[in-house]
Amino acid sequence: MNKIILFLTALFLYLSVSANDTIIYFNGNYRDVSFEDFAFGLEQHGNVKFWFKPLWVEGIRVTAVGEKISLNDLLEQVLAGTGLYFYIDENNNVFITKGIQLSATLPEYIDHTAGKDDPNNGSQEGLTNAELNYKEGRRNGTSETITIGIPGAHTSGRTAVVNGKVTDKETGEALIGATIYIEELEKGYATDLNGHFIMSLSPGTYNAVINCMGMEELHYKLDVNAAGSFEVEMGRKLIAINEVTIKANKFDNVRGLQMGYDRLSFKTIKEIPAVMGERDLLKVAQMLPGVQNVGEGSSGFNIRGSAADQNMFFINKVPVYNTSHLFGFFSAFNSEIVNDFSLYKCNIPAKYGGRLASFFDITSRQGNMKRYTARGGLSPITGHLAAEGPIVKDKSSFIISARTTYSDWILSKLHDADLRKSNASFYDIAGNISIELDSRNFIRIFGYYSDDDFNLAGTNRYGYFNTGASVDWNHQFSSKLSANTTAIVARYGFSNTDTTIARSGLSHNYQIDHYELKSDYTWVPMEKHLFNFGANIIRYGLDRGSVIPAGSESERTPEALGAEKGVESALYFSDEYQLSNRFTIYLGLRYSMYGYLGAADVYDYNPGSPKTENYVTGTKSFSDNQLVKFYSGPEFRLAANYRTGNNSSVKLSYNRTRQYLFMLSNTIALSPTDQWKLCDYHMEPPLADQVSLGYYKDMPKSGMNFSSEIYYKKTLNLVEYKDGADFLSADKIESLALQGEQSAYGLELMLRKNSGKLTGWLSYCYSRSEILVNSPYFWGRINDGLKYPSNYDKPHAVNGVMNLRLNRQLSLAANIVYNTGRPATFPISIYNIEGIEYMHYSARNEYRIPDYFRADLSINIEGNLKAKKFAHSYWMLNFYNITGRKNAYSVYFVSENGRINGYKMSIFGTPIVTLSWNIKLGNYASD
Amino acid sequence: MQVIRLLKYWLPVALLTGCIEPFNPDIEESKELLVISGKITNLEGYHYLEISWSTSYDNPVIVREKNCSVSVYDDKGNVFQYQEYLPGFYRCWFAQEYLSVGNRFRVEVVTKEGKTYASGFDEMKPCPGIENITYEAKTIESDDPFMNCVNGIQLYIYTEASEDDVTNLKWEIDETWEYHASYLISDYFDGTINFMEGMMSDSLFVCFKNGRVKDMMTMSTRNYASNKINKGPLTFVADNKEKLQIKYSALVRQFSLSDSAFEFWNKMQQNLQDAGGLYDAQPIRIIGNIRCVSDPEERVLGYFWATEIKEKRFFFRNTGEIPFDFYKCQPYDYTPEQLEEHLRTFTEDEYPIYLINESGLAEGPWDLTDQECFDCTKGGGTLERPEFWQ
Repeated sequence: MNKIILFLTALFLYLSVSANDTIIYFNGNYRDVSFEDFAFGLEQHGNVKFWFKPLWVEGIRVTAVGEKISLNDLLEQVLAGTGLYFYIDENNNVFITKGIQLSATLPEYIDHTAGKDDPNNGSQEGLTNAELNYKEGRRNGTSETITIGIPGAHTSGRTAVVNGKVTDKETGEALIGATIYIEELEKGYATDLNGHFIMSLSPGTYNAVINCMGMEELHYKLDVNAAGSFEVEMGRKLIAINEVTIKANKFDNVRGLQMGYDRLSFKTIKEIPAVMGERDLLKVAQMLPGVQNVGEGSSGFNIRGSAADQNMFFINKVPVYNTSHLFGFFSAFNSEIVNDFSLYKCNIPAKYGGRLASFFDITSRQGNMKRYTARGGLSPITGHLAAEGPIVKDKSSFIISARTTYSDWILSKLHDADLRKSNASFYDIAGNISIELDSRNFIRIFGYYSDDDFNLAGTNRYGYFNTGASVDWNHQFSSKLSANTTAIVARYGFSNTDTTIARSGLSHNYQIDHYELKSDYTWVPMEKHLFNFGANIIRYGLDRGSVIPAGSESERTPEALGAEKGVESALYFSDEYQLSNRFTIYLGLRYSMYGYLGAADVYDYNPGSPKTENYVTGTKSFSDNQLVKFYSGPEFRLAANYRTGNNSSVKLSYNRTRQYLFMLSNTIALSPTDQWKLCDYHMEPPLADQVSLGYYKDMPKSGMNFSSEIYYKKTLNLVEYKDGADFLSADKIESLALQGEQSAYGLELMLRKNSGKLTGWLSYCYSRSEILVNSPYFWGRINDGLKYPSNYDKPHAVNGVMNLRLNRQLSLAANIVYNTGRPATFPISIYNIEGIEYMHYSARNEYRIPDYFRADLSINIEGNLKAKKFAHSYWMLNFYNITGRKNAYSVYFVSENGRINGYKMSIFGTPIVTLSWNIKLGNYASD
Repeated sequence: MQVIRLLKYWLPVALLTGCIEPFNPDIEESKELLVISGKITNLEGYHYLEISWSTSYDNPVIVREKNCSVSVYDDKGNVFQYQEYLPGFYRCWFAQEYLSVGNRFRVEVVTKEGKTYASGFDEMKPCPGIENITYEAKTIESDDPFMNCVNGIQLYIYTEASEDDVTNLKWEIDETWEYHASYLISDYFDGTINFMEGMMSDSLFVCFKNGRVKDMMTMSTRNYASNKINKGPLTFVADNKEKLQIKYSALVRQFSLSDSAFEFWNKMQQNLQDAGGLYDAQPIRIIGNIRCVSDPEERVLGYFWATEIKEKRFFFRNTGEIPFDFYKCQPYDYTPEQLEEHLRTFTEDEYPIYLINESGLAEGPWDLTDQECFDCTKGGGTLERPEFWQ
């Protein structure tokens, strides 16, 4: 109804010949009342009638005390920055409009084609603002004008800080990574996790292009008078839903400072072929250059030649210490709740710290603020379900998702006794509540739990869980300063029981607790500068658990591995400074501190001897919470972007990162019994320096862009394990591990196509990663003190992801993956003692398993496209490893009856065809 | 290899098929290293040392090192000079007086090129007695994780408590088994078919075979509640064609190890078992206690160690309580023409060819099956009953 009134009014107004707005004066005593109350009051006492939508003015407070107050001035003040406009007609009707400024004036339309004969040509000063707006509004693509700030309110000589928010018109959800590109300045801005953006502009008019993945591009005219804010709602672009776009911000590639940065959104990977039909964002991440892992179906990522424990995974700022289900076949994040993630491989912003190699910042979806909806799906392995909706419409929402596997049920139906004794189950649940308290305060509460449990033939049991919660408060102090404060708790734990050999039966429980408080600030005091600063503090509590006998026949001695405590804290400050239109620099400093706390007993060892029990010279005892050892240091984060042309740029970055905990893993892939361990008295924190140089080019005509980066990374104090280390047999890690250095370098090339029927990317990566553990003493060396390739050193990697949309209902997608086989230690010679063959192995990782190649295909079929339907479903037919290549999962050598035999094991040795089905309430386009 | 087990259980559920294929790595380097291995036991008699070279992975052959001078020294100042009795094999007679628990021994080898290799001292640790050896019938997965399961018996050892706090032990098992042919011999063919009028002979029916278990078996009581091993798993005897058919015996020899010798053999065992898989530890280069004196950087393989031996014999008689799937002889089910044709293919030196005559009649019909089914010695065994056979 409101819309019709507005439309009619607008029509009426345009037809009216009145050139001047009516000015109304009133007397009043309104102290901090809501706009609605104010309007009601004025209608009662004055001769005015207000027309507005109550929703729009929620949160607007009005104070007006005195006589002969100009309603026009007052409204201008209170509506500034809200995206609302007003118009008062001659009958004292006050129309409040959103996004559209009504103009009652019919401009004296001047035919510009008349050219030089036109006396006003080249000077539009003769026109009123409204006339200008009206005229500009008819320009192709420039739909509306947004006026920001009150004319004249601006202090000259300074820039105006303009902030605002971009939301989804349909769901009310904040849009993350939407870009606002100011054509005149050739400058882009992106929205943050809460959909907020801050721009610093000189007063004037600008053409703004607002873009977001999957959304209809918007064009606005910005009329900046002074500081202010506005809000934009974006509509969904139907055709773009299945685009494979990995960057939200198409200006990023060239104009942004980001290097070694990728962003993947769930919507965009929907159709990429997935193993066993399980869509998985993190598996797609492995298709990006510089992201590798040691083997198909193994957990852990190796970013630019770094170990898997050097990556931080956050979901809504909750750190996830084990990111896999089922040993790594699936990631622990249910795709239904994941919105997107950003991956920082280099040029890591100063606000991130605590890991050396990379940060995966995963954000969950926000619930729909407008209506209730649900979705679900079935694949051969799992079933999943998510429900969402408003709690208070347009103010708060919830989303909850759950996923579980039903393989247990299938196992129980099998006849084999051993299989029936086995089980393999996992599930995860996650929920998110978003509350928009007012335009300046936004709160998000997130909770997460994932659980894995495997029981193999009754003799081996693995269980692990991840849980965490965060409360995230986004507060805008002013148009120039906003803050994000978060309280986080996270816990990861596992338990393992192994009674394969009854005599050695053991069970072990492990747990790490993470409590964190962090506050991040964004401050835009002037144009060309964007400051970020903040601090965090983390308290770690580890219970490394006890190894206790399991089973009645076990004779294992209990071994307490001990508990640990530590506090990590950091302060950071950064400035993104635009030196010129072409040149932007980023200067960041993070200072991190870490204390290892008691209670602890620390051994001193004889210098020049191995740090083992035999060489202990003394013991220091520390009481509870007493500082045992303190480590600290600066971490520089520097970057520069120089634009070499309209569509190309060169970027350079340097960063240092420090890490205060590491993982005890002596296996090639991460296993669910690997323990996190804090740096302590003997184990020093690893640190890494990385330099990257890149060249970026956009090819707007073809919708393609290209990026190339080279990097060199040096890691010190890398923790490596002595041959045959057994972490369950000793509590003193220094007796099992050594610290060395690692160098990694590489070249990453990527060509992407983001629009059109065919989208996707092709990447090539050359990378090397080598470790050196040397010492003057023989016991301090690994591999005789010579360099050796790390387990994840795979020099060549080629990845292709393609998505072809045939029409709205049918699309095809394909992956191609090639990489060099991972390094392995092979027997180089055989010898014989008393009739039994033994192997003499090569230097560590001197050989490689066979190269890996895989091609996948998927066909996606959407249900009908009727707009009015209760539910929409779609099918996905997946062909994984379509060539059936028997890729080596592992290569091993065993002695069989005195003879050495080598075997290659493949787990996906044939094409795997899966069909999965997904359903959601609403139509094709519903979210 | 737990994860591989997991995959085996879980992947069928996930509609997956995995596979294992033999894999031969392309090894370019082939560095021959000297291998010196020997031990001194507490038993009077010859003690041996073998010297050979490691050979390439692709083509493993044993290359013995001849004409070395081998001397063993004990910590009391005695020197024992070894003699080469077979190419690359050296031995020396030790009288009992030199072989007491607690003595330490080291070896020195001078090759014909004049290079000297020497070990450190290794102490002869006391070896606890073997209290008992038991078995359990079991079905295990074969080494090939995607192959079918194998039935058999798992042997367990119970030792007596040791004098030391920690005992490190290593075992060797010599196995002997009795097996039977499927048919008693009667009618045979030696150009013509000889009818024996129903007379049966068991002269080729009962055979014995022996062999050495090729598993590495080490155990330690470190990290265990007592210095006595209870139910320590030894080898798994797989139900192959004949091993567990009638009666099986294992002579378990138990060796004590010093800590460093245990570390060596235990690593050797790990390298032979679970190494190289994604969830396994890296296989490791293992260097023993022998160094080249003139070139400390030269790698020498093998170990020289001292040990006390205890032994015990174990018997298993298959009374049918364990359902093993033995290889069974099947008659070929020939027609007289097929039989004649087949018999013609035998040469004279293969005679006699034993035949099945189920009717027991002089005119047959006869049938043929594998000759192993009549003559157990054709399966590689001997008719001679071992002395210890009960």
